[in-house]
Amino acid sequence: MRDDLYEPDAYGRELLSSLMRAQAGVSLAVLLPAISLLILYPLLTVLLPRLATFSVLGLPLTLIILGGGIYPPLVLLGYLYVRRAERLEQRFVELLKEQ
Amino acid sequence: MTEPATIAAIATVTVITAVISARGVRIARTPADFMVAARQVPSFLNASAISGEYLSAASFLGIAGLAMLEGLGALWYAVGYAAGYLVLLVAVAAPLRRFGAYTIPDFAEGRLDSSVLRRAATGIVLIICAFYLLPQLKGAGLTLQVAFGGPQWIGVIVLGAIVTLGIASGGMKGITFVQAFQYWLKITALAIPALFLVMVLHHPPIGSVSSAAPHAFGQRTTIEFPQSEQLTVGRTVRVDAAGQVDGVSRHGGIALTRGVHSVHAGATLVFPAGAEAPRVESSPALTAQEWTSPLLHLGGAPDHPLAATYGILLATVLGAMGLPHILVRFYTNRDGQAARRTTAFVLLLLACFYVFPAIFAVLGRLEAPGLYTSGQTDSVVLVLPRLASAGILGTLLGALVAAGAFAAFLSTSSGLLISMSGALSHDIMGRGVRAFRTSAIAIGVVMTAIGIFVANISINVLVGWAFAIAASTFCPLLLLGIWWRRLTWVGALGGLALGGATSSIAVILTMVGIGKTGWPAVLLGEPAIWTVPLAFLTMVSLSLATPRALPNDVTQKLLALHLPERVRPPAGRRTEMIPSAAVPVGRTTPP
Repeated sequence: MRDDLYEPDAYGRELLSSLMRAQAGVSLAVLLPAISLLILYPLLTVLLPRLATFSVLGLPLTLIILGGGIYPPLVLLGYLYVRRAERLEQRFVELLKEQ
Repeated sequence: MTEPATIAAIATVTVITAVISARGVRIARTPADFMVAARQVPSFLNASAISGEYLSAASFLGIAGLAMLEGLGALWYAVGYAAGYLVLLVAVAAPLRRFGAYTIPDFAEGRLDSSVLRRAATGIVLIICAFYLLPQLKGAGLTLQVAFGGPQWIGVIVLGAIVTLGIASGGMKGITFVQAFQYWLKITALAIPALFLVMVLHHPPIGSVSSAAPHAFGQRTTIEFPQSEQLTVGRTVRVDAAGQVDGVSRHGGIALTRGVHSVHAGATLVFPAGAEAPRVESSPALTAQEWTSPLLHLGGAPDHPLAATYGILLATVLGAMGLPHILVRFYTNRDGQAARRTTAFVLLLLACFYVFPAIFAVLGRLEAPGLYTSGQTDSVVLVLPRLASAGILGTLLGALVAAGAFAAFLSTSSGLLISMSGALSHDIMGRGVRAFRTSAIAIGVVMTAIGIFVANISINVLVGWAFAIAASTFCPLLLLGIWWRRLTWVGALGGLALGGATSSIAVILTMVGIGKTGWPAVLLGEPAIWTVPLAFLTMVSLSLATPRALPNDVTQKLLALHLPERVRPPAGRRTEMIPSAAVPVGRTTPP
């Protein structure tokens, strides 16, 4: 079974592209929310200039977001990605062993 | 102003680095030992090491300084530096480790079977590292200047000499353990003074940065003018002057009347507590509203801030993966999964670190308006602890920050110099330890000489350019090389050449002062916004036009990139495209 993987026949190529598609899917599921997070805040403050003048607990909103608030979602997304990617690989390995 | 505590702190950092490195070298003597050891570095330690090498002068001094100068929007740099690791995590880390590529030129040659492409990649490694090394040298100059006075070039030469000699003698290599130590030193050296300042310093409420302009000196403040300035004084104030003011040489108390005054380079003015800080022509005087704006204002210019912000985000987020001295570290992960875990930890460690520059920026704006007047906001992290407490505590905190800053320059510049000397000796000067040493000395001397002349450019801006070039060259090479089957060496070469040329030229034009306003300022100052798409487009279209240049074994190469280790063929069959034995000693960063 394993040797098949290194033969560039139709089966090997099919397997490879399905693996790559699945992995890219997991990556994009994390990347898209992260990118929209980064793109959205500057855009919102241009569309709604008053947003940038808000204060929460006496601190400017921009300071809260750029000075720390934006990081927990990014770290969380990173954590989710690691978990999902490992699960995907586990399933892939099991699938190959069944054959 | 000579400070034994600061000298001791900086010397200690240097000696500890040298000692741990020397021990590590003894443990791993041959490339084979080193490879075995390399695979056994636990993820968290490895992540500390990557963060230690990554957090440079830009992160330690530059972000706080730029945010103080140009407003909170400059914190996007920090966000981008950290978010870059999320992209690295989801798109690059595991495949690159599985492929077995050790450097970007290795990856380029292994993936696309072209030695021409390899040499082009080597050239770009040298360019990126050079742009990245200059701000480290400037940071060292600034640190020694704040601690001891005197001109900035002294620190530039000191750091240049330490790093060059250290690497040429083989005594200062980027051992994992040293780099990990550097991360924890750096975060401690920022966190303790920051928390202390927030709790102890009698500063106005943090929230007041969003209302009043803060320009009043909290205490008696001495300002040295490194260059001639035009001061705009809002309210007549009595100062102690030394040097030329309004064309007359002064020594002693004078009254600065309301209006404009010229101060000659080298002059010193001492302002009393409570005096309103004068505005200067060379640095922007942002209103509170401008300062708290979440968009980046280049040099305080209000033109197209949204485009500038996106330009910086694109450069930093995509540039992180293309930094030559960082990529080497991913090889020390056991396998692809370990590489992912390591990268996720790096993201966490960076996120923890980047809270502190923001604190320094705010406190600097509230407490140290003199830095605006003297044009030295880049030194806010170094200066604040001394302002906060005049006694022994201030001295100790100042020494701690200086030590952390020096650790930042030391770790990043040695990593960069190793990458540069490795690339130069391996691909251009001929292999071997002797070529490596010659390269290290040559590059060290040249870079130090250039470093003396960049004193006027903000640290963070210089680093931002290194990222912009990396994002316009290696980012498309890595992303397309890993995820796109039809990439050819012709396409990759064209993309590297065009992306590298356009981004470098834009940066150099900005350095020499072309395009200071409007769209030219944004497009040349933040070139990533157009050079990155250009590089991607070139790579894709040229590759599609040259299908015959596709490697014969492209399927195997993609399998080597993406197949989990557990389903690899048994030993004896090729599992990595680049055999580890081919990695020569000297061009690498040992574990």
